[in-house]
Formats: sequence, C-alpha cells, structure tokens
Amino acid sequence: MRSTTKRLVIVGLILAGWQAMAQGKEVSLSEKLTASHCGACHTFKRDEPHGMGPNLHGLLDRPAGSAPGYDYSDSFLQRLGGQPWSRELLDAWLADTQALAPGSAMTYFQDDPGKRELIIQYFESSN
Amino acid sequence: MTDKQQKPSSISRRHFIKTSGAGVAAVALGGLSAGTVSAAPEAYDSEHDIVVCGGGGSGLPAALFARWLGNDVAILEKAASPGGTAAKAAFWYWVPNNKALRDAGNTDPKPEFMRYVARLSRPQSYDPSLPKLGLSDWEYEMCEAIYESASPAVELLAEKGALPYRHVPDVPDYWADLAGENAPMGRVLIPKDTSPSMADGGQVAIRTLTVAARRDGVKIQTGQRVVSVIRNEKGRAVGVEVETEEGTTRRVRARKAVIFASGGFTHDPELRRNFLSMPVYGGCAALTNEGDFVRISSSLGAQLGNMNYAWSCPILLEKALAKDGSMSGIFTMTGDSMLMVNKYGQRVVNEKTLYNEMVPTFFQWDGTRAEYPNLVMCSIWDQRAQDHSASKDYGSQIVPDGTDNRHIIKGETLEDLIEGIATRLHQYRSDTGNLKLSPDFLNNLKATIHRFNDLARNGQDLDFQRGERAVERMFNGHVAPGSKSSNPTMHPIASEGPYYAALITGGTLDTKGGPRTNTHGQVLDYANRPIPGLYGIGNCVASPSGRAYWSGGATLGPIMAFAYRAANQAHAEPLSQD
Ligand SMILES: Cc1cc2nc3c(=O)[nH]c(=O)nc-3n(C[C@H](O)[C@H](O)[C@H](O)COP(=O)(O)OP(=O)(O)OC[C@H]3O[C@@H](n4cnc5c(N)ncnc54)[C@H](O)[C@@H]3O)c2cc1C
Repeated sequence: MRSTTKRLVIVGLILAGWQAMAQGKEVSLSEKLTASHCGACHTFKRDEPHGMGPNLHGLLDRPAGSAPGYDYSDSFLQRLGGQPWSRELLDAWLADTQALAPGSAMTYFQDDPGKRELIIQYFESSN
Repeated sequence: MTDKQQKPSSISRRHFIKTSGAGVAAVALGGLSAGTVSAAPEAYDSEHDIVVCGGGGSGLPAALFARWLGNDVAILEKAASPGGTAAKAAFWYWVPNNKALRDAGNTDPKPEFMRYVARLSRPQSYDPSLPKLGLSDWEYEMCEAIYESASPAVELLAEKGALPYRHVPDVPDYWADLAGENAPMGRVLIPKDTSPSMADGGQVAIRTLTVAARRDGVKIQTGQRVVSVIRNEKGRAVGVEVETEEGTTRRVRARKAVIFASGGFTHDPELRRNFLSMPVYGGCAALTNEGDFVRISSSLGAQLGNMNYAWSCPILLEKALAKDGSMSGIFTMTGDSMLMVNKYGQRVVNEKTLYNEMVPTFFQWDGTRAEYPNLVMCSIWDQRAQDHSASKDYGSQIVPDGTDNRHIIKGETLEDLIEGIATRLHQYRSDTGNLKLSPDFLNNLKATIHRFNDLARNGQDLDFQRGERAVERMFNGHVAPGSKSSNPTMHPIASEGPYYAALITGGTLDTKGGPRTNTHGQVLDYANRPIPGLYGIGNCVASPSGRAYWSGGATLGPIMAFAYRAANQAHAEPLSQD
C-alpha cells in the first residue's frame, strides 16, 4: 500500500515536470520517457532496422530474443530467450538488466518504479 | 539524504538552458555564461564526498578510483543509463609501458614514447633535440602523466574486477613506421570478454564498470543533467545544481570535489560552428554530449584549450543528419573493388587513410571556386565488394543484407547509380549548401574507374599510395578470398553492375577541447591556478594530443590515467565546511 502511494506520487511529479517541458504540445508522457530512455539504441516502428539494440515494435508478448536478424548476446539468450515479454518480465528487466541476465549486452537499471511503469505503459499502448 | 523535488525559483534559468541545449543558434553561445555560480546558503538535496558529472568512459573509472579510496561517491548522469560514447566504442585502450607488454619481455621506454607523441601532436614545432621536444610545458607534462599513470590505473581496474582485460600483443601503433625499428608493439588492451572482432568492447567495459560501481557502493543516478557549479565565498566548488529528467532542480553537495566527465560538444551545433577547425556534421558521440562543461566552466573563469580539434572519423551523412544514436564512425572503409570520389567524380584521397587523418580531406577548401568540393563524397563499390566485404563492425559503409542499409544507393548501371546519388543529394540540399554532382560527373567517374583499375591490376596506387602502410591493411576489412593481388586493398571495379554507393562526410567520435586542467585533473583559470575543488577528465577537457590520434585506444588509455590521477588528488582535498 505504502509503495503504491509512493509510486503514484512519483508518477505525479514526473507528470508535472514533463508536462511543463512539453510546452503545450501533446506528446504522451510515457512516449517521451520511452524515447529518452530507449531511443538512443532502439527503434520502435514496424520494419525499422535494428540499432545498437533490437527493434522493439510489438515487444509485449513476443518471445525474448526473437527479433529477426538481431545478434543477441549468449547471456541474454541463456537467461531469457523464448520467454514472452510480460509486464512483469519487462519490469524486472528494466529494474536491472544485469541482475536479471548478468553478462548481457545492455546495461540499464531504473530504480524508480514510477518511471518503469510509464515505459511499460508505452509498450502496452503501442503493442 | 533528503530529496526535495521542486524549486520554482530556478525555472527561468532551467528553460534558458534547455533552449540552448537544443542548439538554438543565437542562444547557445550566450549559454556559455549560463553556468551559474551561486554561493547562496540554500539546503542541499543530497551530499557526497566526490560528485562525478557524467558516467561514461572517464566518469565510471574516476568514480571507482575515488570510491576505492574510501569516499562517498555519486555519479550524476544526464542520460537514462550510464555509458556515454564509451558504450559504443570498440574500447581499445592504449596503455604505454603496460604490464602485459613488460611481462612478455618487451620494453617501452619513456623517451621513445615522448618523441612519438610529440612528433604527432605538434609536427610543426617537433624537434627531438629540444628538452620538451617542441611541445609546450603543459603538453609535455600531460603526456608524461599518461606514460606514468595509465598502466597503474588499468591494473587497479583489472585487479578489482571492474575492467579485466586482454592484451593484444600484435597491434602496431598507427604511426609505428615513424618510430622505425624500435617501435613498440602491444600498447593496446581490450576488455577481456570482447568478441573476436574486437568491436564490441564498449558494451563489455560499460557493463563490467557499472556492475563494479554498483557493487562497491558508487551511487549512479541517471536522468540528472548538471547545469551549474555551486561555489562558496572563497570560490571553491562545493556542489552542483542538477536538472532532473522530470524537470525538477536539485542541489548536490560535494564535500571534497566535483569531477566533470561529461564528454565533448559533438551535439552542440553552435559550439562546433564556433570552435572546430572543420565544419563537421556532428558525429557519433553520445547524443547527450552537448558541451555542457564548456558553458558551465566559462562563468568560472576556466582557461579553454584544444577547442579546434576532435577525435575525427568519416561518417554517413544521412545518419549524422538524422542524429541516429546508434551511428558508428567509419573506422574501416571496407572493400577492395571500392573507391571514393568527390562531386566532380574524382578520387582525391587514399580511401584507406586512417579515419582521423581522412577527415580533413572532406573540408579542403577550393579558393578558386569558393566551395568545398569534397564536402560529401561517394564511396562506390561493385557486387564483389558487396558480397565479400560487407560487415556490421567498425562502421563499415558496406553492410550485409538484412541490416540497416538505408544509406545504400543501388544502381544496375553507373548511369542508374548516379541518378540515385543525385536524387539523394537533392533531398539533403538544405544541409549541404545545395551540393550537386557536376555535369561531367559520369565522364569523370568512368575515367577515374579506368585509372583505378589499371593501378589495382598492378597492385600499386601511384596516385594516393593506397594500402602501402601496414595499418591500412589492418583496417582493410574482409575481401574476396583468393585474390592474387600484391595489394589486398585494391581490386579492379567490375565493368558490369550492379553498383552501390554511400554518401560520406567528416564527423567526430567526439571533440577534445574544453577547460584546461593540470596533470591532476584540476581545472585551471587563466593564470594557470587550479579552481579549487573543480576537476575535469576525458573529452570535456583539453587534450594534450592536439590534432593527433596516436593509436587505436588513444582516447581511452589516457582517460584512465587522468581518471586515476584526478581521483587521487580529489581524495586528498580537505572536507569543505559549507
Ligand atoms: C563508435 C566509436 C568507437 C570508439 N572506439 C574507441 C576505441 O576503441 N578506443 C578509444 O580509445 N576510444 C574510442 N572511441 C572514443 C571514446 O568512446 C571516447 O573518447 C570516450 O568514451 C570518452 O569518454 P568521456 O567520459 O569523456 O565521454 P563519454 O564516454 O561520452 O561520457 C560522457 C558522459 O557524460 C554525460 N553528460 C554529458 N553532459 C552531462 C551533464 N551536463 N551532466 C551529467 N552528465 C552529462 C553523457 O550523457 C555521457 O554519458 C570511440 C568512439 C565511438 C563513437
């Protein structure tokens, strides 16, 4: 209960800040956060080529390690390969990629559950 | 630690910095003085001994060194994850007189090292008979510091499991031929688990450094853009102001020191335009490297140095204009049946010239025509090169099918190809000063190919000496097996299509100018006095290398040395009382 309240407060604060930044333009908060957290290495639209990381179109429910033509690290495939990207798995992955699949190529961690939630929401809404 | 979130008073400045960060021309240079100095005795949101601004190739090692000395250390990283440009790097690191080299029974004496770096950094004043070899006192001391400290730094990182390495005993320095018979081999180390292609070292290094940092209690906080330095009334740096990705402002106290490790200004068009010696189209540094420390430090009276030079690399024009975060530099201009021509259809450079050395060719000025004839060049290759030289590594312009090949223009005949090139150039006309192929491009290209093919058949490039240096062959990439040519970098271009092309220009891995520091990483003012409590390392500060790219790994090896020295000096600072 306490953590849910905290999470809502955090999401609220993020919202306030990001809305101030958006300066009238309607870009969804979760889309913005996802772009800034994931967009340097990943692409999101169907048929866009892979970047440093694989294309993430339709991520939720697809099996991990299945983007055609992308070279996943052995560690990633061993730990996660074939598991469907559920909300829970994505949350654990975003919390600390190296805790979930030590030795995999992506180094990312996000301690703030509110921000992870926003990123997951983006993938849900775009799936 | 308390984390207060909102400070309405800072909103206007915050918005100002945001605008300049976005590269809006008129504002950005004004932004140079936006690094606010505030001595106001406001509360801090968090406190540490040492605050490292930026968590890339220099910040992570510096934070670890400081932490291992017992300090409370935080990394404030602007992006959403650590790594910066270093995450994209091959992460070769060039370490003179390293332990592996010595253990193998080889030597790397300091005088030879100093002559090598002096000759390349300041060729115009180099004189081996002078005590400082023609370098300035500052350059000489900084190069000495690299020789002394890079090896102990990397040994400590390896010993603590933060960056275990593999020695690459047979990689020569880029200019080993200048050093003659005494040239040392084996100054290059790579992260231990790097793949055999040795191209993915950055991902490995950032992973092991980050895991070690978190294991050992370095507090890495992401989405935190440092926007100014807080100083006390004596002028000592005692903290920083941070803008979070949520748009809130925080004040972070540094009891001992603030170490900037925030990368160069590749992604600030206004700084590039005003300081770089070449009008490059950006480059492949982390997108968050926007020259923040140049702005922040100018209001602190820091002395700038080496602002005109960058670690340079050819890049794909289209990816640079798209600000593609995954873009690499073209380290290997792959293909034997491949050549590169300018807008007149003429070869103007040895296509296998080392990346850093190739870049000035793009910006050669033609004073008669008042134009840059080579601003965008076309690399052109045939099916043989496409089949045998395509690679995903080292930024190869020839890429395998099924990978990101949006930059590739294909034509069944040379005429088709040229039409495709012209159409593509037309799309980018507003970024290239309306650069077009000249009307005689096709005729010239045919003559160029004819000449190139003659030279290739003889295995000798009488025009540009392609493939004559050992290092060019090292960076040649794959070629078709069974070639009988004495020069594996050249093969005649087929008389039949299809043909392929890519638009190439000059860019940066990142810039290498900024505030000047002393050999302990302390930022200097214009009287050469350290600004108390303020440190800088990596590409956010002035490099003593001038224009030179001494060898593969010549950015990261020296960075380790200065990260180590800065952390030790910062550790020795007294605790500030404010
Ligand atoms: C494709 C490629 C391959 C390369 N290969 C090699 C190689 O093999 N060997 C070699 O020696 N070099 C190589 N380099 C160069 C090398 O990656 C860089 O020189 C090195 O990463 C520089 O380290 P740095 O810490 O100065 O900058 P970075 O590694 O870029 O780190 C700077 C960090 O600071 C952060 N930052 C920026 N502004 C702020 C702010 N205001 N507040 C907080 N944080 C901020 C950035 O987000 C970034 O994470 C390569 C570069 C590229 C692009």
